[in-house]
This record gives sequence, structure tokens and C-alpha cells, in this order.
Amino acid sequence: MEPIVCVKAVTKRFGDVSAVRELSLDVAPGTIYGLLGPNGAGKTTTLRMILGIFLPDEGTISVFNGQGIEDAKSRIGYLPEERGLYRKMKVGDVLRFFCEIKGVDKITSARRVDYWLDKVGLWDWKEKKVEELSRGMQQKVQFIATVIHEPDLLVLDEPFSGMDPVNTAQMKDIVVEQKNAGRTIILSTHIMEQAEKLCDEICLINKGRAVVKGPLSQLKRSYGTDSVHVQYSGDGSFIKQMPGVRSVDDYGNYIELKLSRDADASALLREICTKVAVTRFEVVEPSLNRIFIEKVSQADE
Amino acid sequence: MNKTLKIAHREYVVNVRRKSFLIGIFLMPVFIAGVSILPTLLAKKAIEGVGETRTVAIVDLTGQLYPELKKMLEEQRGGPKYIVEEVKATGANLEERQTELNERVQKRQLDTYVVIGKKVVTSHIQYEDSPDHKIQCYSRNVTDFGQSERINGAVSRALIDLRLRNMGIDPAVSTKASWNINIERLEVKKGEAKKAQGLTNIFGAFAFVMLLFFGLQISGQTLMQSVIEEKNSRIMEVLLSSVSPKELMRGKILGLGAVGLTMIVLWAAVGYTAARLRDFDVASLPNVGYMLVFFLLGYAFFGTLMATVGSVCNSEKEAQQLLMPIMLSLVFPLMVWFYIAQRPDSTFSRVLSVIPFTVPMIMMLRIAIQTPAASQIGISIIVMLISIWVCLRASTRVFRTGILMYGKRPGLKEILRWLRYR
Repeated sequence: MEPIVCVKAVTKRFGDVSAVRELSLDVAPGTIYGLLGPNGAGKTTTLRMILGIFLPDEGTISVFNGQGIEDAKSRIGYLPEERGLYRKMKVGDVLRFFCEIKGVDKITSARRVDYWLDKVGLWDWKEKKVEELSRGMQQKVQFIATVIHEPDLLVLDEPFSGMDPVNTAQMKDIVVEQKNAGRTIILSTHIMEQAEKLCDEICLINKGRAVVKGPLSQLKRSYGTDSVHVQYSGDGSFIKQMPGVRSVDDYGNYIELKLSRDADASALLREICTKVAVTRFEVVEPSLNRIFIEKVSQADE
Repeated sequence: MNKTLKIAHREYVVNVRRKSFLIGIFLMPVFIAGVSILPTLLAKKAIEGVGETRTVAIVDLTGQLYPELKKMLEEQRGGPKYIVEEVKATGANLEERQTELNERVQKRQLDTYVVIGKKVVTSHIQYEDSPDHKIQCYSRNVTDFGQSERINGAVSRALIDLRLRNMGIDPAVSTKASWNINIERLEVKKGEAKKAQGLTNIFGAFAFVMLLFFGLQISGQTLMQSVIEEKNSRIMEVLLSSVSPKELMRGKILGLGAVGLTMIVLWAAVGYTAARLRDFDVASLPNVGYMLVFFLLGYAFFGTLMATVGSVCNSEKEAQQLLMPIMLSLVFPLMVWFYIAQRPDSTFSRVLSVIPFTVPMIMMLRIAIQTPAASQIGISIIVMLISIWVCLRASTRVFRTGILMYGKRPGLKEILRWLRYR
């Protein structure tokens, strides 16, 4: 299938600083694509270039098979990292305005505003001014503004940052619902666990460059199922010195072991059992976090 | 285009509903009427001085003028009521008397005193700089023009009558000879003569300039604030993911232009109605039409500039500095308006009529005072249109980059660099 978004060897500089360097990525339709990386990696800049807010200095970006970006804007929904709503306007009016400037007619806009406010439980706030809403409510409103015109492509910059767990879950459901409705979603985050749960495909970027990219499942496989989570009580300091153990990460409640390729996990379990009381032993795929840290530290060396 | 209109529509609705807009609509005509009509009315009242009382002392060293003078001042019709007293003095004790009189003036027991020189009646020398040949009028307030005019009139009338009598002529003859000499001023406009309205004409024209000034200033500022607000609240990014910077900028300019137009049309309507009621010639329909045209041209020009200023600044405080030259060029016509009103066809006026910064207000003033040739109006309109076009093109480029720049305000050099961006 033709990718919905195609970024080719894009570089963007601000003065002397290169925010994005020779970045390429393809986003397949109907998938959730995660743009991951630490703060300042160039995620927001990349998203803004996809939206046509910034123009790349080098390289090309095509959206919807080369549709002009100004026409394409009606088919895109953007949730910026720093939220922005007209504080003095009524919630309903703000949403209708954002819907209408995406080219949706008045009547349909009004209907959708009602539908969405009802759906997220903000119906009673329709006639209230934005500034009267709590932070969490404003985030929901912003989220609605992103999806209300039923865009084919959603661009979400740090969609869950600053949200409480209840709102996060509600918004996550909406994201998944959008995906199931056949929409394509690009989201950026620096929280790997989130990306792991949601994304089909990811691109890890660091200092403006792509470090790792590809389908999540494939990535994990290529990094091998060589991680083991062990939970136990007692003194486990000996585990570090055991043969076949490459490294140990202590997470407090459990430890994550990385094994060398030829190590035998079951032999390891038997041996550990003789010295401490094991409550959990699980062979897992490597976490995205681990892959990322490994890759970034490799690149920094 | 559709999106531009949507942006404009939102700006319009939100701003027209603002309290400050409603207050402005009602207060401004009152204010402008205040600055243009009130001073004339007050000045007239002050000069007439009806119902007031003035105490005047006369030191008549000739010994011949006082009775006549007292009668004249006390019997004067209109103006304040005069209480006249005589203070006797001789050449020797004059200084002493004057010191006393000065004290009484100081204590507000006396408003004015007049010292009439010993030899004024017989004086036949054309100019003699000695107190004996002079009439001196001492007042607490020398800028009270109505007062000094009346005293001058009375003193010279009394003196002339006395001199005529001395020459053997009946003063009544002279009165008869000077009967009914009235010079009426007429203004020739479009080949027709009309009774000149003098001051009212000038102040009427000034009211137009004031309306334009406030209209341009308020709508330009609002536009700038609105850009800064959107930038600060990061609404800009959401907007830019929906519309192009060009559509956004034009939509905002259009929307707030419509707000400004609403405001100025309402003002003009109030002004026009008021002027009709008092048969105020300046506020003719063509003039009101011209004002709307020059408001729109001026707004498109200044508004574009102010939107650009807003786009490169992070706060209104920061913007004030960049705004300074623009504000000065808006205020400039207010500083020279009186001269332009006197000399609407001078080279100075013509030069200001082709500088885009001053065209709207200066041209409006000239049209209101003495409509210039159509070619001149045409040229200034063309100058405005070209300037607006250039300004809009350049501004869009700066705007596009500026609205997404946070942090330090860019320098002029950097802004010039943005102009060259793709």
C-alpha cells in the first residue's frame, strides 16, 4: 500500500542548529506510527514539517500521495504539544470554529460538536468559557478539536502529557477507535511504554537523526527474546556473575536480565532457584526503553 | 478564500461583543465632540463674560476723560457688569498710588486699572515713548482678551470723542460716519459662494482627522494584540494546521477591519446626524464617504504593519518599542494639522499627501477643508494601494516565520533575512 506520509531525507536547520537531519520515514495507512525520542530530539519539528507549518531545508515530504499541503490540511487533525484554545470563547463556539476552518459546513459542525461533547462528558460545559474549564477538561476539548472534522490523518504531539490516568485512558480509547475507523495516526512521545502499547511502527530519533525504525514486532524480534524478568526475595547479587548473563537492570520490584545468545534460560532458572526464592520468572521481549537507551548510548560513543 | 472568511468572521464576532468595543462606540463621539466643539463654546462664553462683574480703577491724569469713560463702561451692553472708580493721582504721587493699586489687584479687590497719561489728549506726535503719552492697562489676567478689548474700545472711544470736540467737531458725526461697516467673509467652493463658517469649518475638519486617528489606532492595536494573544496561547499552531499563514493573516486583517469599519461608520453616523442638526457644512455625505475610503486604505496599511509587529513579539510590552515609529507617524498629522488646514495646497501638504504613512489623515483633512483636484486624490489613493500591496507581500513573509518564533525577539537584520525565505 502507498504510504500516507512519505518523508524523504529531510533536514531542517534553525540558524546553526540542525533540528532534524536526513530523516526519512514512511507511514502506512491505517496504522499508528510512533515518533519516539527524548526531549529536543526533533520530534515536534518533524511533525510541524509534515503539517506544512515549517518547510524543510532539504529533502521532500509528501502527504496523501503528493496532495498540496494547503488542501491536505482539511484532512489532517493536529494536536500540538502545547495546548491552545481561545480562553474567552465558549467551548461550543471554539470547537465549531476549529471544525469550520477545516472546511466542514456549519450544520454538520454544530452536530459534531454536540456529539463529541456528549461523548467525553463535557455536554454541560458547552456554553461555558474555555477559561472556566479545568486543565484536564481543556485537554479533552483540544483533543476533540483534533478529531472533530474526521481527518484521515491524525498528528498528535505528546498526546497524553500532563493528563491524569482517567483522561489518558479515555483519550487512548479514542485514539484506538480512530485507528479502527481506518484513520492513520502519527504520534510523538518520550514515554516508551505508551508507544509500546499503541504503535504498529516506530521511529526512534535522537539529536535529529533516526536511530532505529520499523514495525514494532519486527524490531523486538530482531533484538531477540533474550530478556528475562526475575522477581525474588533474598540476596540476588550473585546473578550478575552467572555465566550467560550479559547485564542486569534492577527495577526495584524485579530485575531485567539480558542473556547472551547461546544462554539457556531454563538452566539459569534452575540455578537461581537453589539460592533465592523466585516468585516470578518471565522470558520477555526487550522493552523499547532498553532498545532505545542501548541505541542512543551506542550513537553517543 | 473560504477559510480566510471564517477567520475574519470569528474575529469580527468576538471583537464586536467585547465590552471595550461597545464602550468605545459610545464614548468616542462624546470625546471628539468634547475636543472639537467644547473649547469653542467655552472660549466664546469666556470672551463674552456675561453675568460677571469687573472692577476697574481709572487713574486719569488728564482730568478730562474719567466721567465719559465711566459712563461708557457702565452702560455697555452685553459682557460683564463694570464697577468703575476713580483714583486721583498727580505726577508726584503716581508711583505710590500704583503700588497701592497693585496690592489691591493682588488681593483681588480689583481686576484692572488704567493709567491715562497726562498728555494723551493733546498729543500730536505720532510716536512718543514716555508714560505721559501712553495709556497703560494693568490686569491680573492679560490673556482675558474680551476684557482688554472692551476697555480698549471704551478708552479709545472716549479719547477720540474728546479730541474731536477739541477740534470743534460733534462726536455724533463720527459715530454716524462709522455706521454699519461690516465685512462679511464668503467662501468660494465649486464655483459657488457660500457664507464662510471659519472656525467651525476647521474644527469640523479636525473632527474627521480625529475619527480617522482613533479608528486607525484602535483597530491596528487590536489586531496586533490579537496576533500576540494567539501566539502566546499557542493557538497559532492549531490554526496553522488548518489554514496557511497567508489566509490567517488576511483573515485577521479583514475581520478586525470590519470591526473598525463598524465602529467608524457608527461614529460617522452620530457625527453626521449631529452636524445636520446644527447645519454644519463640513459633514457632507461625500466627505463621510471619503473618510470611509481613507479609513480602509489606512487600516489596510497600518493594520498590516501592526500585525507584523505582533507576529515578531512575545508580549505587548515588547511590541511597544517596535510600535513607536508607527505610532509617531500616526500622530504626526495631528501635530501639523493646523498648518495644513491653513495651507491645504502648500508643497508641504502635497508632499504629505503622497507618503503612505500620512496620506489617510492629511488627505482627509485637505478634502474637508478645500477639496483638492481629483487627480491629487487619485494619486494618493494609488500610492496607498501600491504601498498596501508591497506591505502585505513583505509582511506575509515575516508573519509566517515570526508567529512560530518564541523567545528572544528577532533583530531587524534577522527580520530582513526572513523576507528572502522561500
